[in-house]
Amino acid sequence: VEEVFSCLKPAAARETHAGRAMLHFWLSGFESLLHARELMFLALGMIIGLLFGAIPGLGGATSLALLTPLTYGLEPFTALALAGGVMGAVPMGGSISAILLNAPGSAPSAATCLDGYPLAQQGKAGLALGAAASANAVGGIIGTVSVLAILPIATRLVLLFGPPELFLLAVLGLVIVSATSRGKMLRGLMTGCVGLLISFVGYNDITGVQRFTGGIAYLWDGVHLVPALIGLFALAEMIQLSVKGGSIATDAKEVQITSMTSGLLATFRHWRTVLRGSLVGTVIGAIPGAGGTVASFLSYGLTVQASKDPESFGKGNIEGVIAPEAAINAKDGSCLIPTLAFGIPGGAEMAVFLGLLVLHGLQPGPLMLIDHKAEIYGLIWALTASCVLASLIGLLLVRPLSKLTLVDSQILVPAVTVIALAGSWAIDRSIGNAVVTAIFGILGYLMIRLDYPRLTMVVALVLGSGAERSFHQTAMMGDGGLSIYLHRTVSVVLIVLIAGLLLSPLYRVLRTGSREAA
Amino acid sequence: MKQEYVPPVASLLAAIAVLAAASHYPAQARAFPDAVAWLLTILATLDLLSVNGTSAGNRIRGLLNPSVAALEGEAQAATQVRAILWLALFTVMLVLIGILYAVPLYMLASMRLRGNRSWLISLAVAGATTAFIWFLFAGILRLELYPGYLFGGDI
Repeated sequence: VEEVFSCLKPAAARETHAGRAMLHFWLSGFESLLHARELMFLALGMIIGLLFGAIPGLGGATSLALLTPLTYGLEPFTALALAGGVMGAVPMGGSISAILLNAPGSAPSAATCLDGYPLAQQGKAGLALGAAASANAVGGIIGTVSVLAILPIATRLVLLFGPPELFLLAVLGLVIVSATSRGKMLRGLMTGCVGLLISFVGYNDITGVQRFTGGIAYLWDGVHLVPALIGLFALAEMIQLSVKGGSIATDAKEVQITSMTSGLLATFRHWRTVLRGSLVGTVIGAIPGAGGTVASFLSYGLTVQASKDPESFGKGNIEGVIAPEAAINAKDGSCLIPTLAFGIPGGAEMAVFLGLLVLHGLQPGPLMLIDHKAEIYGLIWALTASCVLASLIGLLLVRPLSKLTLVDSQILVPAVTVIALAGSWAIDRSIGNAVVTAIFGILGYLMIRLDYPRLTMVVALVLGSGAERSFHQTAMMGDGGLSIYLHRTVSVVLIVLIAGLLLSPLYRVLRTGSREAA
Repeated sequence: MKQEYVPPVASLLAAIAVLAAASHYPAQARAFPDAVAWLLTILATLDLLSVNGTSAGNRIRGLLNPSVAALEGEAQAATQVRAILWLALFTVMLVLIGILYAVPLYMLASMRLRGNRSWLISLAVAGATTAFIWFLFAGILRLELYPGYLFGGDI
């Protein structure tokens, strides 16, 4: 008995110590946020997030892309508070335009349109907006609690990843994002390869060779990530809006608001729907590349299936608003796990957020969960505070925000273009950045126009240099042979996952064929 | 050439250019770019086949690109070129004459020529945008605004 106790004692002491350390980081993260400067930037982020979230086509990725260079002079934690404010508030902004205009501010909010807009047409916009706001807040809180529970385990898991696993993980990230490119896997892989080739431009730190620079001095440091992202998202959307013309909303009469209080209570009446949506959001958010759109539609689908009155969905059922909204905000927290731990973004917004982290010297990867715990917990607290507060502010700002959608593109487009290019220059005061932003803006627009996914290119730009480094390190570890990939459990699992995903279209076709034959 | 062919052909050309450029680098430096370029060649060829309308092409499309949308007509071509040219024009202005001159000129031209706004509104919006940019970058972030290549700025 004494022997057993003597074995258990150190283990129990270690667990207690780990628990205390975790609590310390939770509290220090929260404390870091409670400074006037951080709170001010959090509030600023929330307002910007609400504003950009409400404007279809802009959304979280665009607002973060525009803000990232402006955070250049800020402390890393202040920048994270600003980003947390934006990311937490965008879903609420997206709900406003989805419900009022049937025009989702961002892709995940499209599921909210299905029942939110019919409610608005029935004169119950206030009910829908109230329910969306409270579902957003509750979903955000549940998502945070889930992430705080998962993070300590995530820290242990990431230590299993060496260079072979990190290389395969980068490949897996690209394949996952391609496979979830809504039926455009081939094009997703293509744009991923183009992104990788772009990421090879510049000085290679493994071989010490300048590659593909064409003698242009600006390219010695490679194609800068943040200017490229600003172009691919903000400017590409602006060119598209410019081509479309007019304003985002066509009719001022569409923008009408009625009472909202009863909607707030509806969320608590349908607590099962909120809980289901939040759990769906948390799980889907942790899968790289799946993103908020999958989470919101899956939550909506499950709610319809679980309902006793499935026929009422699509005609103005309040649960059809609550389910996707809870999922969207819950996924925001768990999306951080693959983004921070592996550098694989859960979606476009997280891809741009990666750029912000890199800009502030916070290199995403396994060590980030160990070396920057305080920043991570602070970010999670900022996200949660933003989810809750943005819902309240969103309700107050619904009326003025709704007018923004009537701003003519002839004013919006040049204003955003100026901010995008000037912001891009400001990153390191290089005018080459503005040129890169413009080139990627045109490229991004052509990709939208010709139906090629941009997300895989972004993922490749983010992961490219790291993937090549891991590739060379693995080659050195295995004396140039590839068999090392098959001698490590985690890498074998990753290879199986990659192969499975690449073969998934074949499985889909075979399944459809056998169904038709039956 | 059909516009569907442009991306795969451009990707093929990019892959060939990378392979050609990489041939001058040491073996270790070109190993990974070569692998990606060859992969891109295969993928772009498949994409090219998937849009050519033949039965084999349709099979590839059904398998790997099932939800690719049919492209809209070219009726908007002029509008698209105009939108891209405005962006290109502003970028060139920014490089040549710097932020402080390019921003008001671009805003004024955009408001007047594209938006058909009155001189008063155009001047007000151009002035407000320039003031915002100056306040943000020069005022708050304490950056010296790029003066433009013609006025001594570096490229």
